[in-house]
Amino acid sequence: MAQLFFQNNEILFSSEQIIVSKTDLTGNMTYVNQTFCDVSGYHEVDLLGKPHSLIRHPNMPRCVFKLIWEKVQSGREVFGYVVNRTINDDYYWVFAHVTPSFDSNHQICGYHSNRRVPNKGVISSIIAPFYAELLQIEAKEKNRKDGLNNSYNYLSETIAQKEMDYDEFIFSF
Amino acid sequence: MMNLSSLSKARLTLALALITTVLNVVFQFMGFSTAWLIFLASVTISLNIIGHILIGIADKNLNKIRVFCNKLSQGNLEQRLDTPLEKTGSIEDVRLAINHFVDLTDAFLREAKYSTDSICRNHFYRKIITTGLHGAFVQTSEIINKANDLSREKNEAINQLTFVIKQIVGSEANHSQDASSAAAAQGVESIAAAIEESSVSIEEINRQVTEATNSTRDAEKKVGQMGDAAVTLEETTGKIAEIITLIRGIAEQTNLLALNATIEAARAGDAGKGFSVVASEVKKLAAQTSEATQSIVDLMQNIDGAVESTTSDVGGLKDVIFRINDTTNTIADAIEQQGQASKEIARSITMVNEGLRSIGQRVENITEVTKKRYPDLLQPPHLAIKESAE
Repeated sequence: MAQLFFQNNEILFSSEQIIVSKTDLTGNMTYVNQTFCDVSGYHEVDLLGKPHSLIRHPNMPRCVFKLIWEKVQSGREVFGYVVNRTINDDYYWVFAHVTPSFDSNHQICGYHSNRRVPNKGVISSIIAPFYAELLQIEAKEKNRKDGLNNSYNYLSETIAQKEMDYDEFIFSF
Repeated sequence: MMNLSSLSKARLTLALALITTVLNVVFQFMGFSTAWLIFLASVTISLNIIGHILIGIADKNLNKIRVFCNKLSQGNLEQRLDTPLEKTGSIEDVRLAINHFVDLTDAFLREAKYSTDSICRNHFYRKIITTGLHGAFVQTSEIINKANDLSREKNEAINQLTFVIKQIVGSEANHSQDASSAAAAQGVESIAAAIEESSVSIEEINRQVTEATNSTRDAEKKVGQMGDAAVTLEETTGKIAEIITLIRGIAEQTNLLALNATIEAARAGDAGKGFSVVASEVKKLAAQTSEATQSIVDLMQNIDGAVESTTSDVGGLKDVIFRINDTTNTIADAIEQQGQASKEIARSITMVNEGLRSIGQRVENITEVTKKRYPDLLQPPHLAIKESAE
């Protein structure tokens, strides 16, 4: 079974805490909470206005972001297991809940993300091996776009085989 | 100075201004030069000005917080105090504390919104995640999650009920209902036809049994007549026997007379010779008569045996006829009962038919009410759940 390889340390945070960030429609951060700063090691002013991909970890399959992005852009909530990168190249796992924010005219005006401590067992037994598989698929193709399409299809098929939609799949662990 | 908020800095500045004011008074009593006193006064004034400016900054920042809190009161939870008001200090701490509170309130509201929305769409796996929430947020979340469980149970019960109603009413169209009531009607009809047929055959059997009873009655009468004839025959043979006894007596008397005539003829000598021949002939006739009567007696005995045997046979025949009579009576009773039972069944079938019609009427009523009030119920299930797109 494929496994993710991490060079540096895992940073842990308390289940009492929630990492919060908000972005505008293009994905630039408009708000980060104190826990975000504490865990990622960045200072608030260094994050505001920057794209969220600043904390993207290379072990994160791109197809997962594609799926999250598609869901949230269609106005739905979406959950996902995400590994992020700190300022020191350490990493931390989160269970992210991404939701659109609506203005008074019910139009999407930005995105909101609450990130909680994930279940460690789910990460090690299901998510990490699955992400490693997805990463392999993405790395196989020279063309990045082809790799992304292949891994996205594989992700969709895996969920379809369980006869669930994505949300149900995430909540089934 | 660097780790303090504008408010703390203002407090420090005003404390220094107080010290320079006190120094000014002390210096006046001690007779310091006017230049010193003017210097101290200008320092005091400067410190006061700085203090005022700092309080002004604090006031401005507090005003920002007030404006922000007012927006929160309007239900606008999307915004945050997203830029540092001051580098550090208590006012900045207030900003972070307010943001933290809004973050948690927002997190709870988002969870509650999506979880409740899922319940509305009959998706019960989406529960409120309480990780990171505290106190009243967790308590309320637990109540909503419990409501989720109860809704799921109720939904399952409704689904089962829907299934039953669909079974009764017939799912997509009313084909199955029509089919089942047609089948029921056909069943009742064929039972009615079978009963009709069986009552016709029962009538036929009844007729035959009546005929058999009449025949045995005739037979009984004839046997009675036969018995009477045998008795008459017996009486007649008795009378013939009496006559034979009489004839036999006459023959013996004749024989005796012939013997006497023979003796008398012998006594008469030759004159009586012819008479002796006649007497001997008479004696022969008497002997022949005696023989003939003996033959008749023998034949009579044969007749007696035959009559006796006939009488006994007639008795046996009577018994047989009685038994046949009993049997036909039993059959007639059974047929009568069978007929009653058939009538009973026919009545029951009529009731069943009425019952079926009444059930059909009720099902029709249920169908009508269901179609009117729950039009989705009779649709395929995937149409019943409409995705609520935001």
